[in-house]
Amino acid sequence: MIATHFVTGATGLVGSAIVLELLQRTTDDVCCLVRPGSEEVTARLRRVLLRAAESYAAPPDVRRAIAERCHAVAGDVIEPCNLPPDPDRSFTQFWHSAASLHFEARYADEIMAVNCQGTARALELAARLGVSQFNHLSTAYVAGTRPGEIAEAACPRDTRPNNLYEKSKIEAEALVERDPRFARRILRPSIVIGHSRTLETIHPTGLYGFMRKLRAYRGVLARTQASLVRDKSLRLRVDTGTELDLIPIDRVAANAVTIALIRDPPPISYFHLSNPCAPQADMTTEVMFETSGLARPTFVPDGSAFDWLDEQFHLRTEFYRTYLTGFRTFLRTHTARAVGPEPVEPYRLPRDVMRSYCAWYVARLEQEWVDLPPTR
Amino acid sequence: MTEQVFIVGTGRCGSTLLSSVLRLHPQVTSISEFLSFATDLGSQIEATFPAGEVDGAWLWERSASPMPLQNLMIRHDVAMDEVLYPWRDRTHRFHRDTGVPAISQVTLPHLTDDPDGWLDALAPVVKAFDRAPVGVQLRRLFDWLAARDGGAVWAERSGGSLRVVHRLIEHFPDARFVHVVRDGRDTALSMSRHRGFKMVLVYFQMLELLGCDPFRSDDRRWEGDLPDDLAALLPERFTRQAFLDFEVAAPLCGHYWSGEIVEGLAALDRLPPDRLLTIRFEDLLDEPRHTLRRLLAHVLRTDREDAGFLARAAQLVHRPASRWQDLEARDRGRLEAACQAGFAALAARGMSWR
Repeated sequence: MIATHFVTGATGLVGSAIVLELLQRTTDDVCCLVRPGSEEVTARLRRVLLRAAESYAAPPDVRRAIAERCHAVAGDVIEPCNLPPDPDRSFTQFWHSAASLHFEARYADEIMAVNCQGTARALELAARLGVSQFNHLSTAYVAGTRPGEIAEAACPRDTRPNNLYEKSKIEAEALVERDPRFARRILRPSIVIGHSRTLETIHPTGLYGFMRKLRAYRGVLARTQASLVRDKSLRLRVDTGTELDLIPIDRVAANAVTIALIRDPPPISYFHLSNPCAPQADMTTEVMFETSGLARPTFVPDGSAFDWLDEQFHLRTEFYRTYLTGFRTFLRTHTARAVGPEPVEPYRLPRDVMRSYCAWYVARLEQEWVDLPPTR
Repeated sequence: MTEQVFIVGTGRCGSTLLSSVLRLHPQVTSISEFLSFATDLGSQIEATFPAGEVDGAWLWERSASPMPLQNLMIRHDVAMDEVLYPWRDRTHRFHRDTGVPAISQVTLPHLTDDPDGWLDALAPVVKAFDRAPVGVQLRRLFDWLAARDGGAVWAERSGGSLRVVHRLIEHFPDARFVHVVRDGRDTALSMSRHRGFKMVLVYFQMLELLGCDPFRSDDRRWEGDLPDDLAALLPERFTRQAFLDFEVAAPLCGHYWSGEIVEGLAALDRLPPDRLLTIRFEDLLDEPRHTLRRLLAHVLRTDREDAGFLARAAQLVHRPASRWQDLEARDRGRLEAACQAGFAALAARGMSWR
């Protein structure tokens, strides 16, 4: 029997990194649910995984492992999946990492369908596959509006989400909690950034989404009143001293797999895949502005001194406010116990390292956004 | 060769009135909004002024093709009031289903009651132009319009053409310029209520958020970054109601005005005094005859008084309704702050507003 992991969201940021990690640290096969599209599912899966392997400078034998041990199954997480029985295969663990990361209101149906209905379908499929362990990739931000120290435990019933994305992830966790058919691990990454050595990411979301907003803001300023690009110090609501919990993708994948490989897990356990030495939000924001070619922002505790530009930026980046304001620390007692002593270096994100991360993305955007017509 | 004049401004500054005024003068061919529509509301400026030489077929393609932005507006019945072609009447050659060629939207109907006839007459002429720099080609086109119209001078005026004035100075070394300036606060307020400027400012934001031109590319990789109100205006989703509901804030237009004034004045500074006339729109309102006399002297290079023309022209001058003073204090303050840089640039050149 071939021991096999089943993975949803394997073409996404976290899912693909977990697949690469499984290929390197186990001899198991990996079956991935891949949404059908214009490209054939196996070709798409392998293309994405090879790209991830290259971006993260994975060892050369991973490429062969992708070809030999990775298998695509066509299907959509929001629909029932009729996987044909395979007597030679034994499914051991189910990894549910498929998610919608959208947050605008127009995506409301999609967010709830993928993140909640998708989780319900994943649980059904996991049961049919006969797995014993269900690893649910959630987010540390199911903490919602709660300040202070956030424990690795079920969300309290009165947790208030900041947005629809958080709401959907809270509801998805609840679905997993209520299903006793497997040992369940709720894995909660914080804000996932690029690889700690190569700095690269294959899905620039989160921090990178904010950087695209900065790029767009600069572009619109340049098209309206160009002098503001260098002269205007944007007032931003950032709580100085608050932590911006950024974690490199390789640490997320490595710790997730380490946790999953622990034998005899309890019926349910929670893990914050977060950064034990997260950088300060104000420093990180300054670096993002600097690398985006914008004047250094001014941090303010509230919007009372906002001018019109400040106000517009605030409104257009509302989603990111959660990360820049409020004081919270994601406790990682369970994670630390599970993964043991870790190297500190990949977690440390001082100014020069943050600058390298941001510069990598700015350079990539400059490469991709080359043919924008000029205004004059 | 026909004398060349460009009337430039930020848009919503009263320059349309000058086009209408000059249309009354028998020696002037008033070419209205050619550059606005040939550049597809400014979205194709670089493509309209390429380096090197272009042939007549290229110029005809730019002049007579239906362009995406302006025709999307027609298709959804939110075209600017300036569009003169009777596109709502399906008995005409061009309508919402066919799209309306750039030159037919305003330029030809501004000159003639038979824009389709002029378009047909113009086509073989332009297509036969020898290869030449774009400035020469545009001059040939404008000269043909002037010859047909009987003008000794052509005066091209496009809303917002201050944006391209540095290109006009480069491509038309013999042209004279009229710069119309209006109080930035009133200009910005008017822009914020104008469909053309709304489209332009929507387009700017989409470009920068998507990293591509949504009207000329189907790359929607970063569509998720668009806020809901902008996403509803993607060409494939565009609806009349979404466009009407989208609000353009006056301070955004104030910043735009400031930017245009600062950059435009820097370009106009390169002109010798005899090639530039600056007209304050408020002077045109307060002293129409005197201001129009100055305009005519610059356009026709004559001091000869034409009392009949001045009387007829002065009758076209009406004070616009929108006034920044009517805004509430907070909005007024924000608008004034946005216009500050533009006013400073004008003050440095001796022009001020209270």
